[in-house]
Amino acid sequence: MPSFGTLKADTLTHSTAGSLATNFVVHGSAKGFVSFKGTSTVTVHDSQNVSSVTDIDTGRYRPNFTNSMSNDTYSPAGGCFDSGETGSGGHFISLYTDGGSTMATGSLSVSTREHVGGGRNDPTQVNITINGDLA
Amino acid sequence: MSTILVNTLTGTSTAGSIAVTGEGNSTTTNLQQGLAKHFCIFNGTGTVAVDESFNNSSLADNGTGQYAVTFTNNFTNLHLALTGATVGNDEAFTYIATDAAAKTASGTRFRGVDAGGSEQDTDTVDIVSHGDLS
Repeated sequence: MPSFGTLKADTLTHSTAGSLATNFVVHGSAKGFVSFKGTSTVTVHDSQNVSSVTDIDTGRYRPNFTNSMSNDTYSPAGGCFDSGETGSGGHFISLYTDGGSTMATGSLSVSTREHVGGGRNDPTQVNITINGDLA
Repeated sequence: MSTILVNTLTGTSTAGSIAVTGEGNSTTTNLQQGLAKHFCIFNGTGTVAVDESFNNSSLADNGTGQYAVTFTNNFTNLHLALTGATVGNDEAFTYIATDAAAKTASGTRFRGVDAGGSEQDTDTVDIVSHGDLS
């Protein structure tokens, strides 16, 4: 089996599943994700390219990137999981402006709010993924 | 070379770790870590039906706005990053587990909740999972 330190290629072709231009690998790979406990002391469970998560305030967090994005127009997505939620309720996640910055190249400001009433609150688990271009 | 014919990519130093040079031509990102490990697109109304999926072995309808998926290949733990969106019904949703135990390495439960906080079925539900495969 050949072994390479570095491969430079524009296309990957599988014997049966088809081909993929490698720019889809570069552009299409998530450049970061983080799963963290949002209650009490924030604890990162698993992550990629996220060096830390700052607990700003109730329902406010700032994931900090290990390697910066090239600009502030990347695409974050997120969701929350709650412990003990029954029936209606739960949290949604949104961006917010923290000190004039919402989506910076090195971090992201997110807010988690209760569905009912919309108040800021800490969910049991916060999940965020980042797609876009690395610097 | 412009095209590589290959069925499996494996790191030479560490089998499960391949670096990909990023758009800025300097920083690298980890290929395995950046890949979505699971997705499921399904119709959440009536008899739920999977439209398209990857690494998804089953979809269950647990009640109005309540769904469960199981993975074909498990994650290493329950700390996968699940995100999602819905299309249809002109309502905003998020995804909410009923309790922490509902999210495991082999699958997860979640809910579609409308702006008023009530579970509701949605025409199209999309969920994507990132994390570490076992």
